[in-house]
Amino acid sequence: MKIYPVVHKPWLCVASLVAVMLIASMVVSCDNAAQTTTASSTTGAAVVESTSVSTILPATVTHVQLSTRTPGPPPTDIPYPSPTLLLGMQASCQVAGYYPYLLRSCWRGTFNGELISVGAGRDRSVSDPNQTQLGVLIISQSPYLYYDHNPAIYYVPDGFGNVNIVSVSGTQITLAQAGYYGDPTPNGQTIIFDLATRQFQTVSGTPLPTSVPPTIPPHK
Amino acid sequence: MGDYQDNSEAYDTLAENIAAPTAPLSSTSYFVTNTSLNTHYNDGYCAANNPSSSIVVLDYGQPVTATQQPIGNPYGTVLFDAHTTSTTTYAISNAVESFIYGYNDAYDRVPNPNVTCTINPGSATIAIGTSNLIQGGVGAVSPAHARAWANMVNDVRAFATPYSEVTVAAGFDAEPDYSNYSSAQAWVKTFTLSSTATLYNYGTVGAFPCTTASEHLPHGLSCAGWTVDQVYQLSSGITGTKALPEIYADTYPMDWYQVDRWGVQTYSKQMSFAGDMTGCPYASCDPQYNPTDGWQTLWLELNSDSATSQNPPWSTTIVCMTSDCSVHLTTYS
Repeated sequence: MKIYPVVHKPWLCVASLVAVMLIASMVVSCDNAAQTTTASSTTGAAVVESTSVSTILPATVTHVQLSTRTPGPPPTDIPYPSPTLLLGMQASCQVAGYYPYLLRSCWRGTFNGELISVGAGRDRSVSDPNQTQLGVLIISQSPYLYYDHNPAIYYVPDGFGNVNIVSVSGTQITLAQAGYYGDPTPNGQTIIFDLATRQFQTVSGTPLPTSVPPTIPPHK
Repeated sequence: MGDYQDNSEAYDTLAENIAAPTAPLSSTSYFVTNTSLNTHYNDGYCAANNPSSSIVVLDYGQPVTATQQPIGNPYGTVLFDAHTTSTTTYAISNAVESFIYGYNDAYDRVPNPNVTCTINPGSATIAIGTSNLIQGGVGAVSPAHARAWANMVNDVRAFATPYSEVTVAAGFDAEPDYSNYSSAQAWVKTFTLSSTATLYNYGTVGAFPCTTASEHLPHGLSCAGWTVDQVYQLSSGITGTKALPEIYADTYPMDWYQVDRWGVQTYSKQMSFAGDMTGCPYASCDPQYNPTDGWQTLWLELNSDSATSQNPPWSTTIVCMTSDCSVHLTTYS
């Protein structure tokens, strides 16, 4: 059985340990070499007191494993939180790979008894901060927005620009004007998108023009 | 600063007379979806499939202030799992170390019954990546996050010292759409001052970067939020940075050539291209590039002009680490 960690050039680490003992301030991470050498050596010359090394090495070297390891996958996995389907505003709208819309504000919840996901942002094809952004609202009838090949895509009314989701209440999604990077716009206007009618409207309820592009364009 | 010139006509003519060499064997990089040691171990094991050298980017997603944080470790990322799980630099370092263990076991020809891949190990550079993506104006694209990232990378580098076949580096998906330039620049500068590890920019130009808002645009593209000089700085200009650009489709190589040309004309210094990153691992990816097309097209663009001529050593393709990924499945899948 191989003792881990493997030190391909053990003489280097022995030399380094000697150097460390001479220059106490050097940071050399050969704890493992010292442990391995001490455990396996049969000659006095190569043995270095691991306790001495531990005293010299700074405590900040935290990622060098002090125990031996057998080859193969880790015997136990470090537990990490089991993914759960979080409802409400999402921590991130990050997407792996290219997506033609840049969404920085995402929400997931139920509507008419079904899980839906909503993203707000802008069309990436217009990327000059000095130009008016094309704001979009994307609605998927699934809990995972980016998996949906055919979500409903609504461009916000002309001139309104990039948008963030402020809140979702009942059938109404409140959207606020946002800057180029999705940053909140001071004194920016807000509008409503009604999930029941699939229509933009002013906060006072006046319907606004609503267009629906057919599909997500291919990346070219 | 030199005057920007559109050389597209000249290099288009030259490009007709040269042929790209065979592309390097493409490695697999990952949009990371979890910090499982087993998953990382097995992926690290299977990464040892190139007998020469390769680069693997482990992209841990957008930087955040971690919500669950060990003491003294308040920074992390949002992973690419569909649930957008947050993780810490501590968990990331453990996961990368497990990846390195896997690579090293393959290097030592230790059997792994849990995978079916064929190993053929050489050396590998493993770049631990994050991005400049901010969310709603709030994000951790900050010097403090960059310092935490550098500390983590430095720790993993120390860990990897015995494994001579592995080089630990950092990655940064710098995109003009993701944040303002000053935030991204501050992150990159802080990182490079805090670590001697190379920082590979595997980002994009966005749309074509302009020196001014009214500049002539050669490919019918609009101006990006950053200037061409700013893209250059984050990709080679700042000491310690190199370019490993996304070459997803046909406009990308042309734009990166223009950035390189800008560096030559302005600073008499070429960009340093470590390779390219494509986004589709299959043989047919139309309209996106497969790994061979991506590397060769970038090579042709760069080598059509003697001022920017170079031979990027690596090619990598980025895929999701697991099926639970916030990926937008495009037409090739």
